[in-house]
Amino acid sequence: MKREQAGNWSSEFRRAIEETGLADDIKRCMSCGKCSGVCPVARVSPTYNPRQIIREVLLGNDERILQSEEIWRCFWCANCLGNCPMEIKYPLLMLALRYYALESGAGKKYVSKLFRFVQNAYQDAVTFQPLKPQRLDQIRAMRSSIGLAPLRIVSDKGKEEYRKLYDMFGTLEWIKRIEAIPEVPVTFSFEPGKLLLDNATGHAHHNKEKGE
Amino acid sequence: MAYELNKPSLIDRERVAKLPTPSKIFLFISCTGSIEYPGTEKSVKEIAKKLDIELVESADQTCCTGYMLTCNAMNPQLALAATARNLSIPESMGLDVAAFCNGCYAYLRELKHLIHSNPNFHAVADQAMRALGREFHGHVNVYHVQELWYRQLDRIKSMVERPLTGLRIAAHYGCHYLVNKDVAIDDFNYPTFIEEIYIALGATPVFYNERRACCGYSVGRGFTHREETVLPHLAIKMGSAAEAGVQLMTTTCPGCNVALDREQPALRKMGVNVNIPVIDISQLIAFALGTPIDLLCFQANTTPVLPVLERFL
Repeated sequence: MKREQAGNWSSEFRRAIEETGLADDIKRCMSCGKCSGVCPVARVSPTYNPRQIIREVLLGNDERILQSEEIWRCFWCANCLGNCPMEIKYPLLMLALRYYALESGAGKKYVSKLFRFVQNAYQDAVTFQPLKPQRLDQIRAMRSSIGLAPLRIVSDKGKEEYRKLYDMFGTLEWIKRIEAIPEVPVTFSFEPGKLLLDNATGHAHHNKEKGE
Repeated sequence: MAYELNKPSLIDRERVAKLPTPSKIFLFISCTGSIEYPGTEKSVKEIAKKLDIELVESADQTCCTGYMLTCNAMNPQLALAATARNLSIPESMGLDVAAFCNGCYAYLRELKHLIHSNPNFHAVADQAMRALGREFHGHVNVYHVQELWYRQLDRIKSMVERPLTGLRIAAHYGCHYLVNKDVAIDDFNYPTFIEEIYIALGATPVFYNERRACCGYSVGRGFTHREETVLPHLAIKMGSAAEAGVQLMTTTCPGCNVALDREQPALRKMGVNVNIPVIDISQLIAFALGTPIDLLCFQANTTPVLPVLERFL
């Protein structure tokens, strides 16, 4: 990684995140670390540390954090939020950071494989309706056998209004725009420093594998 | 090893008492639920019938549009507008909403909150409503069906036709109900109301160590980080349930159900000795209340359900 410049550190980044309207509460963080202690992702990945990520945003080095793979790991289980004494909405912070990163092409690979679900929903207003005829037949048979409509079908009026919302807010164009941004690799990792649980034994051990 | 806590329940009795016992409510249909586990939708309808709750549906209701938002796969405006639109439907009928998916439940609640707390988001919803000729004022309450069932647990208990005596069941609560701390009826870290439902149905609740661990699937990490984090996490979770001798697990969210049920073959390949059927809490209640087993559509499950339930038929 290239040498950090003083200009990497500024409050601009934090302000940009706050302006999303999703995470304007992180200033309250008192670094108690409960979030990291209850985080299931931190338990299985040695470099992931929610407390550190909040710290990075407050300190304001966007280059480092946006090029990190870490911000894409969060499960959104909200254990952090549920246990945070300051009620910081960390999952929404992740949402905001991921949007911010996408604007520079970082982490694109994590969303581009999901775009097709959004594009399909433009047609049927349902997410995850399978496309394979065989699977559809299976679902039709199961649902019909228990007296439900063969498929979850949204009315024509519903579909039309839904499409109108896509068009009004430029959702398909938004996807096209993100797809056109060149992918920036997410290569940065924070220092590992965790007790890990061994999957097989359930015993804690120090992680020794990873070294940069 | 299972554990028992000598700890009193932290259920918020006041909130429970304030929950409605509706004669009519709007049923919000979940995409994942209706596609992956049709038996859940059916069970909700069967229980509602027995509790004299009329469920009103609308084919105009679309996907809640929260999931792909939280996967960052769309711009937020669409999800905000779709929430306002979907909620305008029950609102115009004067009905509250019951959802049977933690995702639908939490996204409807959170996005509704954002619409009313942030002027920019409010403007988005407003613009959408005007363009569609709809109105949304935010008067509609959103409930999870499990709350409605728990509210009438005594009645459900009196109607049990198949007591689940000796069945060792464990709960997966699903994070996106409990995290709504302003309304959730139970504690975030130590919830027990699902276990109370098990006891009312005659079953034996099992407290396994990873009871409150999440399913790993909530924002598409099953698509992006399956091998790296989701499977190792599920190995810990489901391994702990297997070790505690869990025979059946229930969820309150079809998305969680997909993760916990469909990933078990992969977990076994990783060397985790797990074979625990996972069904929705509504399917369990409907089963105990005597709903014909064919209507519960257990053939949709990857991990076979019948081996643990057929002795109660």
